[in-house]
Amino acid sequence: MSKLKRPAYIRGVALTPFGRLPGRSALSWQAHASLEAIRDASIDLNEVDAVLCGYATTLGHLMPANLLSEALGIKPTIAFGMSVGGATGLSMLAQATALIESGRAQNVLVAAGENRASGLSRDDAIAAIAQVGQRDYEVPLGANVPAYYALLASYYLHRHDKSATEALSPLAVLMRTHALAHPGAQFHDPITTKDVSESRPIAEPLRLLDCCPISDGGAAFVVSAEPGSRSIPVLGVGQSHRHQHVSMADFEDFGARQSAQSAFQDAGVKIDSVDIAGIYDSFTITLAILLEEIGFAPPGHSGECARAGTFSRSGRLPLNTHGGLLSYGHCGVGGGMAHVAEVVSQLRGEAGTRQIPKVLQIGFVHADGGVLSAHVSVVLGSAGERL
Amino acid sequence: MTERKDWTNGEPVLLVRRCLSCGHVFYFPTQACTRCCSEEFSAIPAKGPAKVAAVTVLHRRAGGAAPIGIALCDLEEGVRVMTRCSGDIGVGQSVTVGIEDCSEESDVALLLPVAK
Repeated sequence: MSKLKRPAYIRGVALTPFGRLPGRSALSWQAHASLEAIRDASIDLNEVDAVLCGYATTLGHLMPANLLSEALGIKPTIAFGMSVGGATGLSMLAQATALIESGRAQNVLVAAGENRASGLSRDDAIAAIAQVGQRDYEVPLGANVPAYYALLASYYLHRHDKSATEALSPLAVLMRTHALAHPGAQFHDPITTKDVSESRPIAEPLRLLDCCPISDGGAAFVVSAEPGSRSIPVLGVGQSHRHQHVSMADFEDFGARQSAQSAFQDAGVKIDSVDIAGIYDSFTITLAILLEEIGFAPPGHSGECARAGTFSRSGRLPLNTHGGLLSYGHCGVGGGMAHVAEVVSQLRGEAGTRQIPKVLQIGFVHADGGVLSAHVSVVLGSAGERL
Repeated sequence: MTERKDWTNGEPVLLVRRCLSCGHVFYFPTQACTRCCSEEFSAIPAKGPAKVAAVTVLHRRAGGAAPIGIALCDLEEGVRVMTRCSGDIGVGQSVTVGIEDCSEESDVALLLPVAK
């Protein structure tokens, strides 16, 4: 990190349970997670001077950060909503970091939450997110987000001459295994690769268990200039935005590599130093492509690495130890923030029965939005580390 | 740029854009060339021979509608086009992309690119 910048710390995190949990509105999930993150940060509500809030499809509000601020009874000097699809959470973290680094804010609240499972029918939820497709040239064909990712999967399996069962299913099994250790996860029953390959087809070659669920839930962070004793420093941030629509994507370079490399360079950290990772996993194919583009698995070998234990809690690179989007759940923007909350918990040594049994110094999180369209990567340091 | 209608507004034709500055050929009618950012390009009809880059059969459709095949096809002209297709085509296969009337599944006239 450049010495000219003031360091930023993740001082507080909150992650609610995910699932079909009726009773809260999107705003209520956001406020609930916010209050928990502020408590976790050990600051007062009125010390928050900037609020960033992710969009919620069930809310559709023009000014989500102002709405949330009013609901929390605070009057920040900076407030804005953000919308970068699944990358929104990490994009907000990147913006919060920039606000701290530039001296514009002292304590930035980053929040998201949505009643996506109970507030929308499944058809409406699928239709809402299908709009990341091109309005005139893709959406009228009847394609939706699972179809866009299935197209990527068909290309990937053909290119690497692998079956979905060997290349993708082990990633779904790994996420479920990790979710079993988290009481907040949506799913609590173990699955096998056979269960994945025998689950009903959604968009071939993807089957039900290759796809994340639709969930209710929320997540929040407090990013601060002044670290507390449990704060995690933001060592580096990187981004890449190379296309919006799958028809326009370069299938050999979606942008994850560039995003991750900038983050590692910003942090002055090598990829081999990463002790724990949180990688966006909306579908098994999402996780496979991101792992391989970033460089955590050789091309075509993510599934094999997962099966070999590389990404298990006791493996070389523990991955999505909360269960990821695939098994912890996916409530929209908050879903992509869960990876950060988990990596922070692990780096703090506060993950309880899920705690990785080794010293953790460097964490890495990555999210994509759209159809591998928007990429944001963040490198995190260890608890108590001062920059 | 000359405005020409294509299948998205009722004409049974598949148009691609050729940049008048760098010659790059692209599909979506963007405001600027996707390679050199020039704002001058012409629309030309695409002939249709193509290779399948990716394909899926989508089972999970709104209202329980019947499964459909969706493919990304690389046209000879050098553009990638999303099409409908039958369920039995595979990645790498040579196909022809044409515009077909798919109105039977819709209340309004529906022209779509279809790979065969």
